[in-house]
Amino acid sequence: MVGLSTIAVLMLAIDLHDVTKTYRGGVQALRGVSLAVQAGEIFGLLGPNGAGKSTLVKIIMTVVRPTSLRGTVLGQPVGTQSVLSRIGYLPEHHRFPQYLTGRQVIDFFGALGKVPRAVRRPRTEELLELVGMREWGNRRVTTYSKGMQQRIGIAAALINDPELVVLDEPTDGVDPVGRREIRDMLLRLRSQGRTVLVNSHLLSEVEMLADRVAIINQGTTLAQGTIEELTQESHRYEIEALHAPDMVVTAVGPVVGLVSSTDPTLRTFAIPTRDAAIIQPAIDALRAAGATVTRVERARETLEDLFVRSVIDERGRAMPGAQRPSAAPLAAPPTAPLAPPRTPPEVRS
Amino acid sequence: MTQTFAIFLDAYRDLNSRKLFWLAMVISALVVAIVGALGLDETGVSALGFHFNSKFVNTLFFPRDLFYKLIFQNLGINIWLTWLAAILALISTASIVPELIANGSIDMMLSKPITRSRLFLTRWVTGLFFAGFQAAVFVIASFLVIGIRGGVWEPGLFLAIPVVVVFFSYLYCFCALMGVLTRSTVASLLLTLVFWLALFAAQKAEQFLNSGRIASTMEVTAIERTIASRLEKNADADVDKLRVELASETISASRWNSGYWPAYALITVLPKTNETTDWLSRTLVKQSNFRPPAKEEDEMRFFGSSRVKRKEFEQAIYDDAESRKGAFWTIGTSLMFEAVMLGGCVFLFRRRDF
Ligand SMILES: Nc1ncnc2c1ncn2[C@@H]1O[C@H](COP(=O)(O)OP(=O)(O)O)[C@@H](O)[C@H]1O
Ligand SMILES: [Mg+2]
Repeated sequence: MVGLSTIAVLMLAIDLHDVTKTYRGGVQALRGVSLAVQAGEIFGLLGPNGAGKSTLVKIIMTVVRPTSLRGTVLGQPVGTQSVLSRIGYLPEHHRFPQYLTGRQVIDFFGALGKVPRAVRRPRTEELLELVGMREWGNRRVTTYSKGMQQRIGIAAALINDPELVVLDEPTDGVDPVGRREIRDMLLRLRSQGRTVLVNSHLLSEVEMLADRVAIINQGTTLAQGTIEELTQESHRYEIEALHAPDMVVTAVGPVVGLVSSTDPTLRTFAIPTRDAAIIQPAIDALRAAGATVTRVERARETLEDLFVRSVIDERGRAMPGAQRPSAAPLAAPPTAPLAPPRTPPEVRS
Repeated sequence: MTQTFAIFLDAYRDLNSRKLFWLAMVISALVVAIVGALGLDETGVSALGFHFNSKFVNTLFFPRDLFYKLIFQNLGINIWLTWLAAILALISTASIVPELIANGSIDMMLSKPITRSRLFLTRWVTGLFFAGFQAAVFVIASFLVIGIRGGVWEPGLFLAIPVVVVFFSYLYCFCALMGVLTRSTVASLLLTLVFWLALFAAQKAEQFLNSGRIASTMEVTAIERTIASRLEKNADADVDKLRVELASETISASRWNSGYWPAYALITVLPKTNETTDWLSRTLVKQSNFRPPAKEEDEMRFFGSSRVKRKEFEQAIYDDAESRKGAFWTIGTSLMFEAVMLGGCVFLFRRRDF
């Protein structure tokens, strides 16, 4: 694995551009997604339900045929058979044949992945141990709970000792303890030099794990980068004031105050800066206009804020005139690498 | 190889979990055991200690091996292997393709380094393999019964195994295509049975038209011969009447022909289930001496007023089948149809999004 991680620095495990997919029946699941996953990192693919995350992953795994695509996976064009033996995949909503035991499931997929029997045997035992299913290995999968099936699925995904592990909603249906174990497992996979692509709608989980994330919505990439990169533009100062004017002009431009939903006389101005000096004139201006400053605070988005804002912006754009929730901060949109050009969100007060 | 073996093992586990496969196997064994328990002597048939006197079924009339051979042919092949066991095999394997497609782990299978066509075809062949396994067990058991009880060892019998597999594959490829299209085991099974019935009807229609055509043509020849002999003997008393008869029979023969050839063309492109069984029977008769003893002096006429004798007519039908319905026409063209259907399956399976 040492050799692997050396190469890892030099190459992208997944490097896809302009992936589009229109399903038969006309559903445009992907409308030009780009994805760059570096070797050796945990990459989180985020997005609301129906965003196209699974479609993207299935295209990588050759389960779904792309409408158009450029780029490579592990250095080879998507669909190259030999590459598939270097990838482990856990599909979402999988259901293993009911006539198999957990051990047989792992062995079967190992064999399909061309792992020789002599290697499969001991590794199956190791993996059963790893996912905590050793005592259950000889039971039929029909007797398993959702979480146990998920564990067997993860073990099956790892049977071919993959360089790249692609997990579609791995914690789906798993209890909190199990989730934590899965998280630890993913960290261990990374420490072994493997690249991990996780697809999830559970943001806090991904935030704890992922080196980098991409946010997908309605088939387009809204943002991509490290969590730090994606949220740094959201560093801001919030000034809350009573009886304030609609707008203050600051060094970073005019900022409209949002009316509080509980108190119509209270407005919040969010000034996108990390520099306290920049907000001083704004405070002066507010006070000069007769307002009472009640709170000044540094703020920064969490991944969830970022996610919700990205998705809601996108919806607002998709449906002109849609009402934005008044709680949405007014920070300038993040301009992360690979993010599509964005127009500043319109603000209604 | 690892992958192929894994797919076979998986299919076996699948079948094994379903029990129907074993049920069919047990019935097969039972059928052979019952036939094996039958004994034939000079006065009749005995079974399980009971004796049934018979004037026809006894060793004076039938050699002992022929008794078992005819049971094998009429009961074993024509009824068991190509009807009942085939239906059981269809029921137990019809799910293989829909299961593959609707399977909750198809995503994981497709993500493995195996091409879709290979995955599909291997999976399809497993079904064929298990049907063939059942046929093989039955034929081998029959071979032993004919050898031990009948005293004649006929390795020619083993021809029945590949032919039954081929027969089954005609239906099974259609079943697979329906499975890919409908994704439903029950629907594909029912559609296959309908298809089978349609094939049966088409082949029966062709056979009916063919015998009408042959009988009519033979009748024309017979009338012509009669006219010629009358004229030769200058006994032209009712030659005019015969000429009228000839004219009407000629029209009738041409009608039969114009009905026949389209039917023949149709079944030439379709899989020939009955024809395959008939071909196997003819071949077994030729190779392994299955022919029942000739009925002496069979001078019966074919139709009531026909000039053609039944024996001649049957010989003509047989000769016609031998000359026009050989292995290539019977099995080769059916396999071409099968290749087209399998090609369709693979085409659809490769293009499908899961
Ligand atoms: N096999 C399919 N056929 C047609 N439409 C599909 C298929 N799979 C997914 N879709 C549609 O594509 C869109 C994206 O789905 P998906 O990739 O599963 O989203 P996610 O995994 O992000 O929830 C959805 O609108 C979904 O209905
Ligand atoms: Mg999904």
